[in-house]
Amino acid sequence: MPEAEALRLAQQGDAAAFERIYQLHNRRVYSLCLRMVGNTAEAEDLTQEAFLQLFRKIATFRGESAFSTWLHRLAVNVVLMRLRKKTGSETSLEEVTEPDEETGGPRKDFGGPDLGLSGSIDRVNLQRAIDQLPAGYKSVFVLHDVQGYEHNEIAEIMGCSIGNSKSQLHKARMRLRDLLHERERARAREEREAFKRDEAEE
Amino acid sequence: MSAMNCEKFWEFSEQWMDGERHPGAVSHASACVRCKTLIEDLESIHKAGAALAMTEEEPPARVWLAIRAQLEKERLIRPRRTGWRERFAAFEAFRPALAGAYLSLIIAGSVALGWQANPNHRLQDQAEWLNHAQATMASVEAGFTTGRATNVSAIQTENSDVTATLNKNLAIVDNMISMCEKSVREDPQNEMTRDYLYTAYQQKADLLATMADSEGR
Amino acid sequence: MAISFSSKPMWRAASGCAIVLLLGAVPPLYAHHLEKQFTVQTHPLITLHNPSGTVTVSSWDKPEVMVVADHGSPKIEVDAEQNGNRVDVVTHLLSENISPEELRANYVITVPEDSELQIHNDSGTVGVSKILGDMNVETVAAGVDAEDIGGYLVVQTVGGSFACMRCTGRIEVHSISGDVRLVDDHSSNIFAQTSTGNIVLDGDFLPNGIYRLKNYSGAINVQFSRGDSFDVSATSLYGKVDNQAKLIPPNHPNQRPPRYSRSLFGSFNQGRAKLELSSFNGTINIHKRD
Repeated sequence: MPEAEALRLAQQGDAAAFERIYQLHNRRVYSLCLRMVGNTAEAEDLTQEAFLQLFRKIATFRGESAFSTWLHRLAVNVVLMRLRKKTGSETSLEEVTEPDEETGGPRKDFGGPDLGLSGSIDRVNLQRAIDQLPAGYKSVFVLHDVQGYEHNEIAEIMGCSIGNSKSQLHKARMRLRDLLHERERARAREEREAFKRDEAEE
Repeated sequence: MSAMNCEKFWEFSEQWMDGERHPGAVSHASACVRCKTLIEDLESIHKAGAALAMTEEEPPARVWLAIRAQLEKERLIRPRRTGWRERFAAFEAFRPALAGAYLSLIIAGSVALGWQANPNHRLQDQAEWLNHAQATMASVEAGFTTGRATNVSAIQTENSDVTATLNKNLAIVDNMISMCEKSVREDPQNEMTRDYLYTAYQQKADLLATMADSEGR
Repeated sequence: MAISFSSKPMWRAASGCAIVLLLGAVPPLYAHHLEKQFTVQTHPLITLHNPSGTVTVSSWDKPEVMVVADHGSPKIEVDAEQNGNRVDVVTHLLSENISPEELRANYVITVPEDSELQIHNDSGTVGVSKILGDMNVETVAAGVDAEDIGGYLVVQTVGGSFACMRCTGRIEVHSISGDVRLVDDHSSNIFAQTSTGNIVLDGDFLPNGIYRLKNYSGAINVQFSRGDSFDVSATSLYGKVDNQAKLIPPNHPNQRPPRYSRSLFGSFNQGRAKLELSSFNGTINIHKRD
């Protein structure tokens, strides 16, 4: 069933149409939720909530944007509401980053390694690093670099300024760089120690 | 201009990633391996983030089961509309036929609108379009009339305001169609007249569907 | 206790009895009354399906939906129930023989201002005020009045009129013979289409706003002030365009050489908003406010 037909039938309460819409979009919504919250149980819960909200409101969809865009924004709002609840009552983007990150900015390790991140960045390591970001950095990075939202859209969704969104994105990337470097150093350390152990055994 | 140092470059790195290239930053990056590496790393992270979007995971089946259960509980999934319209099952059978004819009309209209992009279609083709649209509209109306003749139940529900309004507006739309068809024949190249005619057909189909609902009450 | 008829005039007691008798003889206006209250979360959805009657929806600052319904006939039943964050209000028909008066049910519904509404009321009137969520209103003959609303409002009516005052959201209205009045609105996107009704647009033209008004016959009346700024294209195929705005003649990207139409294209001041007016054979008036 094509999406347009499913949408039309879903607006009339057709069960198969609801399921079709879910099949078409569940992966994208779930992946977004998973990236934003970092654990599967909560991602499942958020996915369920996003689709329930969608199906409750589906009759009001006017077609002024692509349906997938509308759904996606709805899912983002569901996730952000949950993140806001976790950090306390309505918090702005500025309040969900760590204080030392705000005042200190990215770690300026001018004496740090000259070597860059080796090769292409491993997907698993990147996801792990994203999970370690403070909520505000994570939201902006996932929305901008992963999901492709523009800063003006992020600003509107998150209730901050465009300048703030850009600043948070930059800090997020800098923090990810530090985390990925640490991961590489830790792996290099493990390899060296494993090599020494092997040599000692021989 | 004083030479830029690494600390200053880092301050400019945000703008760099946003596409703004300060001249001092450009010359510093070309000479400083550390800062050049910083930019390369940030760009790699940006690209890796975009690549992450390509890999999507599927939620477990229990998520859909939970959604469906909740939708059923909230009665958002239902086989037929509750309330006053569901009482007239005869019209449920009639309406798919009407919907099919309406769909033909929409397709005909869409084809016609597609012609707006190419005003050089031959007059003969445009006349054929008009004949086809008229025939489709006639079949929609015939279906409705048949439906009324065979499916009107003994139910005497009378909402005189609604009945009078529908009949009056059907006459209005029929008149519009007649005037628009005349205009299209006189000036087939005029996009605006065809747009008005298409709108009138659409209004008529909507009105007939509303009348079918209303007859059943 | 003995009743004295000498100090209290007899007519007082008699008239009192008469009043009591009269009250007893006059049937109550609405014999059936329903009142239900529901607690809801943010952005609740409220749906209403009613064949005929007066529907009034307004907002308050409580996270609750209050439904008050009145009807005179036992041949219909009104019902309101909650499913999650959604409240469904329905008028059920209980009899096969029912007159227009018996079909009538009136509703007064109070909702949180961020509610979304779906209203279907075929005849009577629909009044909505101070609602900021999206709304979808469908009628056949019922007029629709909206005041101080935001959100995306879509109205579809056959013969009902539509009036919107001080509305700020996006407005879309489709009618066949109903009039459309848009007054004191502060909306950035308006689409109004009626076939034989008149359209009045007397509100603000926001920068980058889009205002599209279309009818078949009847009049389209647009009011503007000296400080407004819009780019206008106005075409009446077989009617006329009467314009008082001093337009900068185009270099207009949408200009089409008119054949049988009366057309007008141009910019007023900086041409910030976009105004598209079209009529088949009606009159388009672009007039300055007094």
